[in-house]
Parts: sequence; structure tokens; C-alpha cells
Amino acid sequence: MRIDPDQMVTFWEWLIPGMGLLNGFLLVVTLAVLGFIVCYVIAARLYGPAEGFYVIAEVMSKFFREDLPNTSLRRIAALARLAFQEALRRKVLAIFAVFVVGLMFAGWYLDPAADDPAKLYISFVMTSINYMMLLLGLFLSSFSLPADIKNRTIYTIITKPVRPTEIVLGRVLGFTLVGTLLLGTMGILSYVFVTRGIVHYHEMEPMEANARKGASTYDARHSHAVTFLEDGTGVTDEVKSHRHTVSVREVDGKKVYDFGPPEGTLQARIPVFGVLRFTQRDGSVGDGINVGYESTYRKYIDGASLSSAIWTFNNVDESSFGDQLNIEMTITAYRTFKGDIVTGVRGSVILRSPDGKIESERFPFIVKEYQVDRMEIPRKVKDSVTVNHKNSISTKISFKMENSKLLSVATIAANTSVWHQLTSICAKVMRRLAGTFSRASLVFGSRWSSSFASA
Amino acid sequence: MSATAESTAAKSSKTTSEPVIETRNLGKIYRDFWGRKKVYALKSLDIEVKQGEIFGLLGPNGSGKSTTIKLILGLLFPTSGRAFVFGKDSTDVRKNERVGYLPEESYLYKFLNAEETLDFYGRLFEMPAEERRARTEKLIKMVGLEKSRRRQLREYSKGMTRRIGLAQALINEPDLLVLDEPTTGLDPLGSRDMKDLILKLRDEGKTILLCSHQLADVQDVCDRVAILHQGELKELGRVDSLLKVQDVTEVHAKGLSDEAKREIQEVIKRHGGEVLTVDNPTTTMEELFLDIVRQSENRPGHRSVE
Repeated sequence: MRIDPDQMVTFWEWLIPGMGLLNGFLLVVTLAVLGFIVCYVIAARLYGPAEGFYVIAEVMSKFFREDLPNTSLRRIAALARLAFQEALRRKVLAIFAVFVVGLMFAGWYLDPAADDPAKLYISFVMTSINYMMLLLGLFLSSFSLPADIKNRTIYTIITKPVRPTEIVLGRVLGFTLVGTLLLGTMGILSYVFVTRGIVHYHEMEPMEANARKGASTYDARHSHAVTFLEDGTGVTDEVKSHRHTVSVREVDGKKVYDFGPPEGTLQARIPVFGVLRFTQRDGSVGDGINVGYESTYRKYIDGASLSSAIWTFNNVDESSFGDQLNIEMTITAYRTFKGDIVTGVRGSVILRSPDGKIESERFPFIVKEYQVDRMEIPRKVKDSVTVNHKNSISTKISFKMENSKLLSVATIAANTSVWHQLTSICAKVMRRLAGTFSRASLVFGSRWSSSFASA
Repeated sequence: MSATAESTAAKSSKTTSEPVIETRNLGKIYRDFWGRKKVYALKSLDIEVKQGEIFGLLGPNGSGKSTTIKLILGLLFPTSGRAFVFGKDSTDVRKNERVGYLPEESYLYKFLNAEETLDFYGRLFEMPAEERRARTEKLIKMVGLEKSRRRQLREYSKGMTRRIGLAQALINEPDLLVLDEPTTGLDPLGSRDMKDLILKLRDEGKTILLCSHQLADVQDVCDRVAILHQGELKELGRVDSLLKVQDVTEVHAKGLSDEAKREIQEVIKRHGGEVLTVDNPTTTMEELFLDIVRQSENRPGHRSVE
């Protein structure tokens, strides 16, 4: 129920050791070199190769000798202020209105019966904000300065003691400010939208006076089983990735049950990247089956055979994960037979220590195509050898497809806490990363009770 | 021709300090996208504008007036020759500290109001806040926009836009004022105000360069003019000497009887002169208009009928 700060990449870690700064620098250098080449080609056309070079050198030396030292922050601020005013008085509010209208009607189309409504809501607001900001940045920056040149308003600017660097920097700064403000506002609105969207309460179904267990009413397309603890408070089971706590009051000799808001719906995730390899039909190490998707994590494994997909992860240990290892997988099945396509394809997950000596029992599941397969693996698991060793064909088998010819498993496995002795997960599965990422990853995360997703 | 005209102008000019604007062999060729020559907009122009004078650029459309002004302001790069403003190259940004420019149409930000416009341009000169406020106040009063100071420029009429354009040009109390067609779009009253203002600014010691094809305006305010045609300088000199018709004498008199007029004509004939016209002078349309407007302002509701 907590997140390990060590696993989160902070801004400063990203900036210097994480190559953020270096990458930015490289980008600037690349653009500068490209710009130089383009300018030189144009200058060479106009003035000839040698003279063209001289012209460019002159311009550049003027930039460093005169423009840069005389650039004034106050003028940049004035121009940024203008860009800000321009944005506010022209187009920006329209985009904002589109966003608000989108939020107003989104509620109708976001399915509350979904597996994890919070995720749906968050991905909706994230995507819409993304595109809004993209459009905004595109339109503001690509139309503003050219429009100035076209309307010749630029004439009244450059006949003042303003330098070209200041004009460009002023715009950049002004539009950055606009974007930041809008992003902030949209963020707050989205937060309200998401939290309001997922909050719901239940009531208690009628139950016996002193029963330890009961059930909640059916609200927001689900109900919970409630267990009462020694101290009189109750806890529900986890449905749709959340629980409620239940408190009991007595009013006029009757018990009244108060359900709290959903807990654990908003969870932070940190991607943990693993390495994927395969075993083939006979159990030997080899490649997965390619049915058209060439990426490794989109390859398939053979059903009813010794084929397996093995993910190896580092840094999966108990310090970062609590009581259980939560695995989420998105798996697709590719059937090569006709006939029964209703019965789900079955598979199982086995966890293995890094040295390969200890393996867990099997955790079977049925492939939910196009949905997230969720597994909660407890902190203590049985050893596969002691449980199973007579009928296990090989201790290496970790995941088995029973009733299909071919099965593919794509994955976002895990939301997890893990074993101290098990630091690698080995799944006899082919994985395809679902959703927006096109990259194999195992996503681990712990719950934050009700804080906003940060990863 | 132009060289002699210039030398006579220099002799008769009262202000003979260092030139504010100097162009040497200034030329501009406009090219198309592929760098091919398209138009010779200006051919080797040599002019000097001295401190404290009003210099007019005259010429038909497409004669190179605007090109000259843009070259002097550094809005265009010359193809040949150079232009100097206050002894600095015209492309030097620092010269702009002392220059004010009123463009042909007022190219201002339509989403700002009058106050914000002036404040913004003041900021570009790095003026402190109090000074900006004071200048803004003064200039809005000067150009007569007190009532519409908080309206966005998009709502302005053409005349109001010209006024705010002029105020914008004066925000830094420039020593050199460049006016591109200052009276277009103004009614006769506004035009007269503009001309009075130009003369007043000249009296304050500012140098003014203006271009126009409103000949009357040029005649009214300019000390010296250069006449351009097809990118070439055709004439340069003082307005009064250029326009003086040397061998015609004009006499204005009042209260003469017909007999007296006849007598005067006889006197002229006796001295070997030739009488060209004897007539009552007509007033100009401009003066008539201004007269009527002033009367109606003094006595609202009154209709002036002759």
C-alpha cells in the first residue's frame, strides 16, 4: 500500500543521470547544424559558395557579438505578455470550451461497468488533454508569428529597439505560460471529473443481527461482500479494483451501516521492464511464433506443448511491494482451429527464482481477450516440486496452455509485491503489450489509498 | 539636376548641422522566390535629411517612396549602397531608440486597447512604469482618444487607428519621426490636426520624414521635398523655391472699387507688364469645410446657409 520512492524517477534524476539534459542538448545541436546547412545552401545560391559562407559567418558573429549581449529580459517579458494576451483574447478559450463540453458528455459514454473505471476515466482525461494541448501548441505557435508578418504588425515591433532573439523568445515564453495555465486548469477539472466520476456508495443488504458476513447493495454496476472485524467495523472485498470500509452506528436501537468512499481506485504505476525469451514446443530455448506482428512481445506460443514465454525482471523484491504480487496481463489468443471459440483459452503462471532453482505452483487463468487479466499472487506460495513433482514433466515448465493450438499472451503483468526469494517471474506466455504502450513492460505499482496517479 | 538642386537647398536651409538621415547610392531590387530579379524598386538614391526639417518624399504609386522608408528604417536590406540614421547603419537596432514610425496603415495589435497598446510599446523601450503611464496619458490626450481609450483597436474607425498609430510612434519622444502617408484616412479636420501636429513637432526640434501623394499636404508642411518616379530621384529642393513662379506677381487687395482696378491695370500696361487675370479669390474646399465644422461646433443646431 505504499510506493517505494527509490523506484520513482524524479525530475532531477531524469534531467542529469537520466540523459534528459543531454538529449535536449543534442537536439539543439542537431537543429543548429541542420539550420546552418539549410542557410548555407540558400546563401550559396544567392551569393556563391565562398561569399555565402562569409555572409552566414557575418550573421552568426553579429548574433553573438550584438544580439545576445544586448538582449533584454524586460523586452522579452513585454513580448511574452503580448503573446499571452493574444492567446487569451483569440483562440484559447475555444479549445477550453471544447474540453469542458467533452467532459460534460463523456460521462455518458464511459462505461461504469468496466473492469477498472478509474483507469478508464484517467485514460480518457489524459488522452483528451494530450490532444488539446497538442492542437493548442500547434496552432498558437505556427500561426502567431507568421500572422504578424503577414499583417505587418511586425513592422511596428522591429522599428522599436527590439532584437530578433527577443521576438522569438518572447513568443516561446508567452505561449509556454498559456499552455502551463491551461494544463493546470484542465488538470484540476480532470481531477474533479475523475474523482466525482468514481465515487459511489453502497448500502447494506438486509442481514442477520450479529452476522459476521453480509453483502452490499448493487450500485454502480457491482456489489461487495462485507466482512465485519472484531472491532465492529467492516471491510468489503475488492471488486473493480476498490474496497470500502463500513462503519456501524446505532440509531434508535437499530444498526445503521455507513459505507465509506471507494479506496484504492486511483493507483500509481511504475513501469518495470523485463526481458522476454521463449521455449519452443519441445521445451528447448528458441523463438516465439510470428503471426504477423514482428515485435518480440507480440509473438505467440504454441498451445498444448512445452512452449513458454519467460519474462525476467530485476528489482522485484518485498521492499517495494507489500502483501501480494498483483499481475495484470493482456493476452490475445490466435486460434488455428475451427469450432469452439467460446470456451476460453487457459494458461498458467509460474514464478521462479533468478537462479531457476525454486519454482512456484501454477496459477491458472482463462484468457480474457481484449481485457486485462488480473492475478493476485499471495506472499507465500507453494513449491512446485513438492506439490507437483510427480506429474510435472519438467521443473522448467512454468506456464501451460491447455486447450488451444496457439496462444499468445500480451502483458502488462503486475501490480505487485513479491517474494524475497523470487525475483524473476517466468511465464509460459507470449505477451503483447496492450493499450497505449507498444513496449513490453511489466507494470508494478502499489496502491495509494486515494491519491491521484503520479506515474 | 538633383545635385544642383541639393546644393541650393543646402545653401538656403537654416538648419545645417549633421544629417539625421543620409543615403548613399541606395538601391533595392526585389527578387522572386528563385532569386531572379523582378523589380528595380529604387535606383541609387542620394539624399540627406538635416536635423529639424520636415522632409517629404513625393511620387506616384510604385515610385519607391515606401521602399525608401523601409530601407531607412531597416525593414529591408539594401541591394546596393547604404543608409545611415543618426550616423548608424540603418540595420542597426540601436538607432530605433531615437526613431518613431507611423506605418502606412496602422499595423497594430487589434486585440489591445489604446492604453495597452501604448503601454506595450513603452515596455519595448524599457521605460519605467510611471514614465509609461505618464506618456500614455499625455499621448492619448494629444491625439484626442480620451473617450475610446479602453476600446479594443478592432472597433476603431480608420481615423482613430491613425491617431493611435501616431501616438505609438511618439511613445519614445523620438528625435526622428518617419510618417508613411500620415493623412490618408483622415477627414479634413483630422488631416489639418495632423499637419498642425507635424509642424508643432518640428518646432520642438524633431526631424520628420514623410511620404505622401497628397500634394496639398506636402505643400503645407514640408520644408524640402524629393520627388521620385520609377525608383529614380527626379527633383530635390526647398518647397518654397520649387513652387515659386518667378515672373508672375500676385497682389491681394481689399475694398477696391472697379475704377481703382481699371487704373491698376493701366499702370501695369504702362510698365510693359501683362495682366493675366483679375478675379475675386476663391477659398479652398478645405477652408470652407473647416469653417463650417467650426461654426457648427460653436453653435450646434445652426445651419450655415449663405
